Amino acid sequence: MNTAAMNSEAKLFIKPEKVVIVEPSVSFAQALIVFLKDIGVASENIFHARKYSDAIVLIREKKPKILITEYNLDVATGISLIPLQLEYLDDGAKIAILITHDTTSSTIAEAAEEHVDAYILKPFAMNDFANRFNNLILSKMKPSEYQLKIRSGKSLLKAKQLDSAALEFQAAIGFAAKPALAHYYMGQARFLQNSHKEALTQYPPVSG
Amino acid sequence: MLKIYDGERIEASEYDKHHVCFEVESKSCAQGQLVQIEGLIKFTDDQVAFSGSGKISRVQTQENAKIKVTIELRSHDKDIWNRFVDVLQNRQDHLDKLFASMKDDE
Repeated sequence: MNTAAMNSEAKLFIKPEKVVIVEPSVSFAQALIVFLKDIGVASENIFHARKYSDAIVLIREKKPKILITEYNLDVATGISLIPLQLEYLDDGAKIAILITHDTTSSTIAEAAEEHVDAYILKPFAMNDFANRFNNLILSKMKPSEYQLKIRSGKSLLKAKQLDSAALEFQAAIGFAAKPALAHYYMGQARFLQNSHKEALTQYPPVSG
Repeated sequence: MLKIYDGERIEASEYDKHHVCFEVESKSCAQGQLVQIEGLIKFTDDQVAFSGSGKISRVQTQENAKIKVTIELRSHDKDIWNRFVDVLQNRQDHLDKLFASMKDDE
């Protein structure tokens, strides 16, 4: 019913992957499970937890590439599960989808900061969900030059190869019209190089 | 969002222009049954009464001993329902843009 929106390449990509759904509502979870099965994910690769503690166990045990989680869980937020995924997968490789009723700016900002890849409002039309899911998979399969440079720069930054990282962020700046993230990381690289003045130039004051 | 079923709040899990899905107690209804829906739709600034009738086009059993029913809307205030669908769609579109700009994914 919802699979028309899925690109065949995306379906192939998703087929062997493990998916953990963290969703207190069985009804929502069921809708997602049916969708995932429809696009070819094997039943034995789909796992569902209703509680935060169960979700932690599932993620640690199954190491899913794809995490679909509600924001409001019983004892914590779904966003706080994402670092568990990042323990075994790079940010560019993992897929984390937040589904929620929450439209507050602070939650959206938190999600953007905490490595959420897609933010989907409840209730949803399954065809819309399928479209967004498809686009997300394709962007993970074929990241833009800008995204690749940022990722490479971040890895180099983490490895303290600051000059190389700065070169990657500089290159990224050329790939986007508004490369805010590239400037942000370039500022970090310059700061760590003790080039404080240069770091500050990456964060120009907002006029007006 | 929508309240039906003896005053107990029931959440719509999926919707489109012609359907809405709810989770209800098992054995409370069956496929093909005609149902009446009455409730409130809350928008950002107001809430409006909504009523309509439809036919249960699909029943799916769930692991929690409840069933998920898909209701095909047949007789209802299409203006209100379409407004509801459009509001949700526009809200998601706006959020997509905001989220992409925050993540620098534009």
